[in-house]
Amino acid sequence: MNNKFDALKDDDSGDHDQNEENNTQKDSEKEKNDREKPQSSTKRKAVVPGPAEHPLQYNYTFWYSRRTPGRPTSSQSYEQNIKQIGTFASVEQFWRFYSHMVRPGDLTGHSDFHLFKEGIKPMWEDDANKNGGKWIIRLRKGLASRCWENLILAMLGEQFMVGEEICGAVVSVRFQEDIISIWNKTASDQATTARIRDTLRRVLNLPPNTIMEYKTHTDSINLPGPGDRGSLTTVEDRGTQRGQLYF
Amino acid sequence: MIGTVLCYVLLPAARLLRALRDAFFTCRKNVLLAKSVSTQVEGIFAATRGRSVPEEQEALLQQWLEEGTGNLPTSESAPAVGKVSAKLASDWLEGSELLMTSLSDLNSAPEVTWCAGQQLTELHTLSSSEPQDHAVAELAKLPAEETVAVVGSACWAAVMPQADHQIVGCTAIDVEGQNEDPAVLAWSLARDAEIVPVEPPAWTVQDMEHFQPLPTEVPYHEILWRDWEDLSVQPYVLEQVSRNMSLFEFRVMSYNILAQDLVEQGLDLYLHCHPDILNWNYRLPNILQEIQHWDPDVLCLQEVQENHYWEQLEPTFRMMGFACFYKRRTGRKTDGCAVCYKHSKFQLISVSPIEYFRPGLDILNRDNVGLVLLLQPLLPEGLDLKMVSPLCVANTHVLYNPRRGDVKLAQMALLLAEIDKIAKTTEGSYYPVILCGDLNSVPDSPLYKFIRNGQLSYHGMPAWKVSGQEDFSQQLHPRKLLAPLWPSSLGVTDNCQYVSLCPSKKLDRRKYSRDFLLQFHFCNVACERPPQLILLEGVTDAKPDRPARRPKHAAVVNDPDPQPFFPRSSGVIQHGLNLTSVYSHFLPQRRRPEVTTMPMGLGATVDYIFYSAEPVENGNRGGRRLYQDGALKLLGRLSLLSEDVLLMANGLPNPFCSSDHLCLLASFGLEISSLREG
Repeated sequence: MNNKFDALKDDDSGDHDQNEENNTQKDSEKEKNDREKPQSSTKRKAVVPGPAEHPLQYNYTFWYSRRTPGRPTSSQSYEQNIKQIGTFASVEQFWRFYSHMVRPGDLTGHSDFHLFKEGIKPMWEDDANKNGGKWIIRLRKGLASRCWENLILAMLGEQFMVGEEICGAVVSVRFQEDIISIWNKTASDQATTARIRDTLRRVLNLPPNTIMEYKTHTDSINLPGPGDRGSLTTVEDRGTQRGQLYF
Repeated sequence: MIGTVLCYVLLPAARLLRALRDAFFTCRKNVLLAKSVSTQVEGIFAATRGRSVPEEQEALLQQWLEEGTGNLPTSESAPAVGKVSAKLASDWLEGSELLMTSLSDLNSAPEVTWCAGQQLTELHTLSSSEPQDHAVAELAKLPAEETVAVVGSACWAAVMPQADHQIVGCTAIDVEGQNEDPAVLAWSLARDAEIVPVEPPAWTVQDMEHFQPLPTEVPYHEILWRDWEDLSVQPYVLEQVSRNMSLFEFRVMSYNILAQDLVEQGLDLYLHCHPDILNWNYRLPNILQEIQHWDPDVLCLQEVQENHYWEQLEPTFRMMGFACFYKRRTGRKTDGCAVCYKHSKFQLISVSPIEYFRPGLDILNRDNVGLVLLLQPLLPEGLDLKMVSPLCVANTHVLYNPRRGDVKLAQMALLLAEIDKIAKTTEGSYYPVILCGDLNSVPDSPLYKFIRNGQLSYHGMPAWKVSGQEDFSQQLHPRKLLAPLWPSSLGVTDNCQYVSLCPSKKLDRRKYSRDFLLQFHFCNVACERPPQLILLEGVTDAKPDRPARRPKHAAVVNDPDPQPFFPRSSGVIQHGLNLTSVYSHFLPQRRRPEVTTMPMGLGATVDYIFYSAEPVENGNRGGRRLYQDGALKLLGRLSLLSEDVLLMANGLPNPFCSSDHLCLLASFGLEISSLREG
């Protein structure tokens, strides 16, 4: 770390970008390796920021899931239905995937995009999620694309300032509405959940009367709701389940 | 503690005598002025260097003997007080002690140093060979005449030892080997200055003739009288004294002495001045006398011209017991900043010159500089140095240009980053800091508030607003401050700390704003389809829809933010030094603002001495932080003047004050902890 910045002391040196990139890459590789140990059996090549790219605090993975119409989803079929799109480590790599994915508002059917930290599956059962929960915001149609982009940019840019707490984010495209949610590790940590809520309001530019719902994953298992995977009901059925304010 | 008792007894006496000495100073200055306007400058110079010198000198020595002895009863406890002078650093008392020492040397102790020995020989020769001069006779009568006269001579006696000290030092470095009057030699480095030889010896002759200024003269010394404000009588200081807390006392002066090159480049700024008083040969001795008179232990000078520094100022300061450090401005600028400290009071730990000019950076494209020293106060013998904290002294002269507030802020940030580095303790707190300088910004300007409140929200602020200066250029200046104020490549965070010294990466996440991320949306990498991306119809078959107006390659990619770990888009800069100003910028008695300079006849405060204090809990009055003294205590200051007063003296510079700035002077006490570990 020190070496990395030593070059900066000489303000005239001007070649510190190079140094930084090299070091950052090294750091990322190390972190990455540490994190990947549990699943190293897959022998996947570690994703690292390219030269001159802007490394992210964490690597993230895009996932996509779509409910096959007419068939109830079980935990198992959910896992089968969900597909990894790709993992990225830098700002540039993120855009590379993002630019080649359709915008959530243009998705058809009952589908979800998930963006989770590499190594965390977008499932309640994952160790990182089992004690966690999520903030849910229901959006009227037409807003999902913009809100999803703002949400994930805030997450990738470490705007939530809750340490390691964030696990990932989901956008769920449904028939009458779309839902975005952000998952965190510790549902019982109210300071964290409150901070996430406030950051959400800010980055999504939510009007003050927007209803935001926090749901622990245990609740979701017992009382499945919209956007929860495994939900047997459709959003049309429960559209009036709670007072909704769209913005 | 007997020292404390003595202090209480002697303090009023010392103050009285100091006041008297001040009176002497102004009187002498007045004489100088009288001379300077006369056309006989050359004559005086010649006379001083000629045959009359030994006579004057002899007269002086005789007078010393008489006056000194006459003064003995008054100052008989002085040595004892001198021993506890860490507590009471009265230069007068030290001076007296010195005087007595030299007297006793004269009478009884021939085994002194080489210099003093030579001095001694000269003294004896002079006193034995020549008959008494008329001046001596005249002076000898004085004590019997009037109180005023007695007062005058007492002051004189109190001041003389300094000169004596200096003469000794000078003799030691007498490179030319001329057998000249030591007093003249003392100033020989400023030999071309005609007025210079008019030192106390000459004064003793001239003074009695010109004691009252000519009626036609402007009584500068009266108009420009500056009171010493004793702040040590404030309750909190007294409380500490009663708690038997010892203080390491020292005086700090900040003075922009107006570089001669700048005078000559901007003569239209000084049209109100008689050309003679703008002459360096006139100004130098005035400035030196002022410094010598106030006798600071730390001296921060701005606009010190390089050749003057090496040829005149540094040698003189060295003789006065200073160790000196100098940093010239970059580019072709011939002036710079100097920091000098008395090596009897401090020991150097480190010195860092700072150049604000950074090639290729518009915000740092000016040639200003700063100088940061870390000094270890020297305690009287028997006290561990660890009992007193090191002191960080910073000096700078920030860019003048009123329209480039952006540059001023960036320069200040660089200085603060250097101070942060130098003054930070291993525990992460700071040693006491004293920040002196000409900041070219007025009180309560955004730049001032930034220093004092530790925070400034600058985003969108017009650059000309930063300093609050009068802008005489009448130009349009649409430049605005935008975040980030300086690029991350500078290696300085928005907290004015070097990135290299910031806490580890673990704490500072790779935080990116939405806007920052968005600018890479259509960078070249992002437009290539990832080879490993599986093709899902209607899901991953989108094509990057780069907006037409966007350039193919985002310019930002080639100019990346090299330090993305530190959020840089907040539009707020901060520092954690907790600095407050020695001066209040207002003269309650006159109900007018203090003035440190008078550009175009308009008075303004742009010079400051800031020092470390402790923020008062919840102390925030109207956005202005409240402070109380911490380990560093403000004990006194030399009052400033108001604009109307300076106008009566024809602005600045004038025949009495030889710079276009007033000097700032403050007395501090640094806690000597006997319990707390250093």
